[in-house]
Amino acid sequence: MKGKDLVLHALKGGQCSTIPWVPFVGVHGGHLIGKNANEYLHSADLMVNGISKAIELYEPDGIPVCFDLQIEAEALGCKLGWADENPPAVLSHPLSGLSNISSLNPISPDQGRIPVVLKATRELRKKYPDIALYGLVTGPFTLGLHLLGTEIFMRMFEDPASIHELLDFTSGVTRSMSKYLLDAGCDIIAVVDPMTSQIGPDQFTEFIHKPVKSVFDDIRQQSKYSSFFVCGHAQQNIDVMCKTGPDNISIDENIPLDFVRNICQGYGISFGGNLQLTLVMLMGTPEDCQRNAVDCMDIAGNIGFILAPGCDLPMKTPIANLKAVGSVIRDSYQQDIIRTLEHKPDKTKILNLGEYGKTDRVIVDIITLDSESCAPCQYMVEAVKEVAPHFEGLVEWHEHSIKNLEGVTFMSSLFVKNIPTICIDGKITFVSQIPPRNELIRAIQSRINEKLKIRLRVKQGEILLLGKSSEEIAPLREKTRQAIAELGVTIEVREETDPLIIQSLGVTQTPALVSVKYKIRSEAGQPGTDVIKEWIKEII
Amino acid sequence: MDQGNHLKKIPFILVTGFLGSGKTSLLLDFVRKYSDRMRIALIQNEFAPGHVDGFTLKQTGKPFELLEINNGSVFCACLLGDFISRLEPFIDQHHPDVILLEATGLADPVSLGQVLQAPGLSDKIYLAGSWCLLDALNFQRVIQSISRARHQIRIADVVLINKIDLIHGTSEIRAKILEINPFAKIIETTFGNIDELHLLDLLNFASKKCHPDERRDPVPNHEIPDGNISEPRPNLSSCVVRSTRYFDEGLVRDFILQHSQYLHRLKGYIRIDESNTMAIQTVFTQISITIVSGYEGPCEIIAIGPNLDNREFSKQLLSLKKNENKTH
Repeated sequence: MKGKDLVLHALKGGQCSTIPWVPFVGVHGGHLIGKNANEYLHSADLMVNGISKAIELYEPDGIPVCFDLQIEAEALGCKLGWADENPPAVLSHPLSGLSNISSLNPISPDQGRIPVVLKATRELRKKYPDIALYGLVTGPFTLGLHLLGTEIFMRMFEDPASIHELLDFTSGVTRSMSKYLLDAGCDIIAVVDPMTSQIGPDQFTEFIHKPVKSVFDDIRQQSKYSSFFVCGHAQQNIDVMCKTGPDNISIDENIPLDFVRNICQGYGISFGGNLQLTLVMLMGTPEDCQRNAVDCMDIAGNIGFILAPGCDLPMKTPIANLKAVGSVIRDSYQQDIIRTLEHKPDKTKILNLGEYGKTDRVIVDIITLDSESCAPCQYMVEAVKEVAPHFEGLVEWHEHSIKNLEGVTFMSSLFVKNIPTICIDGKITFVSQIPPRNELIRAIQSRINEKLKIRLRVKQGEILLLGKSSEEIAPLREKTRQAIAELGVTIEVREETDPLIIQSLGVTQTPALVSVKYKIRSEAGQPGTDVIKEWIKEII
Repeated sequence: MDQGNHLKKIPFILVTGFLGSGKTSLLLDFVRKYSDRMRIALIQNEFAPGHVDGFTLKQTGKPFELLEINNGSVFCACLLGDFISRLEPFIDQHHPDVILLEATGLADPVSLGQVLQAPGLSDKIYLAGSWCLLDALNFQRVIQSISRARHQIRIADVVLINKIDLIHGTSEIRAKILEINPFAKIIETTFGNIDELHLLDLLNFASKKCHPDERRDPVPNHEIPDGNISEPRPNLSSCVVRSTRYFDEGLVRDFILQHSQYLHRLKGYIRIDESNTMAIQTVFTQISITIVSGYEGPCEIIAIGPNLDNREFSKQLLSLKKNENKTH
C-alpha cells in the first residue's frame, strides 16, 4: 500500500507496514523552482510546479497543496506584509478598536487568493490521483487573532460574548474554506490553529470546542477526513482537542509523540508529527534527519501514525535532508543501521589509516550491519567472496560488522557513512548497492594495476650526464637514451654542467657519465649509529 | 571604537514581554543612555502592534542600527527563515557591540535562541540573555490567559516589572514570577526606565564582563569604556537544546557538575518524570538545582560558554534521556 491509500489507512487508525510520509511543503515549493514566497503564493501554476517537484524529489504519500495561514484573513480584509522566504504576515486587524463583526462578510471562492489555491488543487488532483492531498484551512482561533489582534486574549476575560460571536463567524469561514478545498479535490482538511497553544484547556473548552467541532462534523458529513494541526506548547490541550472530533491530530517537537499517541488512541484518533524543524530539518545533516525520523517512528509505533514535520517547512530546508527522510522511511535496513549506530560509544577511536593499502596485496573491506541478518549486506559479502579467489592470493577481504565496536571504529576511520559499503585499499568504492560481478572485478583489477604502476615508478637509481655545456653532453645523451630504450626500463637521466658540482663528484674530465643506485636501508625505524656507519662505509 | 571587536562574537539579547509591557520604552531608554559608548543594533518587528518606527527611535538623536523584520507575531519557528537570511548581512555590515531583539508577546524565545545556531550566525553572535518585561497592572490576567507569557518568564534571566507606580505593592507578582522561574533576577521599573546601576549590571551579566561574585554587588563605577562592553569577552557561544523526553536525574546532575567547570552559564528545565522537573541554573561553578512540579512544556536548556561545540553538547545532553516508551 502506498500514497493516498496508505495515508487514509493510517488516518483511520490502521496499522501500516510502512509509515506514511507527508512533508509539509509550503513556500519550500517555491525554493524548489527558484521562486520567492511572494511569487509562489500568488500563482497556481507555480504551486503546481513546486509541489510536483517536491513529489518527484521526496516521494511522499501525501502533501499539502498550499501552506499559508493568511489566505482567509486576506480575503476578509487583513493587509499582508510579504517577505521573500516566509509566508506573509498579517499587518492590520479589521476588527481591532471599535469595528463590529457585522462589518465583515462571509467569504466566497472568488475572494483574494482563494481561486489560486483552488485552481492549484484541481490541477494537482488531476496530475496525482494516487497521492493524498491536504487542504489547509486557518483554524477559527488563529483567524480570530488575525481579525482582532492580540486583544483577543484580553477580551476572553473582559467581553467573552464578543469572542463567542467572533469564533462563530470564523468557524463559518473555516467550514466554507474546507468545502471549497474538498470540492476542488482535497482528500483531507487540516485545520491549522497554532494560536490555541496559547490558552489552557478551560478556555479551549469554553471558546474553541464548539466552533472547531462544527468544522470537523461538517467535513465528516461530506464523507471526508480531517486533521487538527497545532504547533507550540499545546500539550495541555491534546485531550480537549481530541474531544472536538478530528480524525487525526498533528503536532510539533514541543509535545512528546508518545503522550499524544496515548491520548489519541484512547479516543480512536490517529496522530502525526513531529520531525524537528529548526535544528534538525533546517540546520542538521541528512543523517540527523534520518535519526530524527527513526526516533519518531520508534516512539510512535505503526498504528495510526503519519510521519510529518512539526509545521510548515522553512523555505530553504536542504533538499538532501528531506530526501533522506523519504528514503529511510521505506528502508527497514537503513533504519536498523541508524538504531545500531545510535548506540555507538561517544568517543569512538579513530584509527590512523594513512598507510592503509600500501601492502603488496589488495585489501577489500566490507562494512556491514551484519551479513547474517541484513540481506543487502549478505549479498555484498557474497559478491566479494566469490570474486576474490580469481586473483590468486592477491586479494584479501574482511567483513566489519558495525554491531561490534571494531566495526564502528573501522567505519568511522574510513569515513564511511552508508551501510553496506565496499572499500578497496581503504578507499570507499561501492556504497549501498551490490556491484555487478564484472564491475567488482574491474575495480579490484584497476587497483592492482595502480599498485604495479606505483611500484614501477619508485626510483631505483639515476644516470648523471656531466659536461661543460649541453652541446658537449649531446652525443652521450643520445647513446644513453638508446640504451634505456633497448632495455625497456624507466630511469631518470639528469644533466649537470656546474663545474663545482662536477668536481664534487670526483670527475676531472668531461663529458662523463655517473650511475647512481639507490638502496633503502631503513624505513619507519631508528637504526643505531653503528649500523649507519656500516652503510656509509659501503659507499665510500 | 575597538575594531578588533569585529572578530569577537556579539552578545544577542532577547527582550520579551506581552503587548504594552514597555519593551519599546526600554529600548529607547537604552539607546539614549548607551549609544555614545557602544554600537547598538536593535531588531524590531516592523508590523507588530505598538511598534515604534525607526523615525521615532531616530528622534532620540543617538546613533544606532535598526533591522526591521516582518514576521507578524513571530509565533512559529517556520516563520524564522527570512529572519536568518536578513540578520547575517546586517551583522556583517554594522558590526555592533550588542544586539537587542524586541520580540512580540507571542514569540517563542527558545525557537529564537535555536535560530542563532544557524550556520552563518553561530560564528558571529551568541544568545547572551533574555529580559522579560511585565506590565504590573495587567500581569495577573496575562499570566493566566497566555501560556507564552509564562514561557517567556521561565526562559528569562531578568524579569522587569514595569509600571509599578500603577499598583500597590509587588509582593504577589514577585511570588508568582519566582514560582514560574525560581532563578529570575527581578527588577522593578516605571516607564521602562531602568536604574542605571541595574542596566549596567544587566549588560555586564550579558557580556560576562565580571565574575559572578562581583556581579552581585552594584557595578563599582558607572563608566563603560568606549565600545568595550565585550573587551574581556572570550569566544563565547550559546547552545539551546529542546527535548520532549524524560531524563535520568543522576546522569543530569553529573553532566551539570562536569560542564559547569567551563561553562559561564547554563539554565533551563529538564523533566525527570511526569510530575517532576529539574530547574537548573549554573553561573560558573555555582550550581543551583531545584525540583519543581507543575512545569508545562518540554525540556529546554540554554548554555553559554567559551568555544562551546553545539552539536557535541546537544548530543551529550540528549544521551542522558531515559530509554522508555519505545516500541521497536
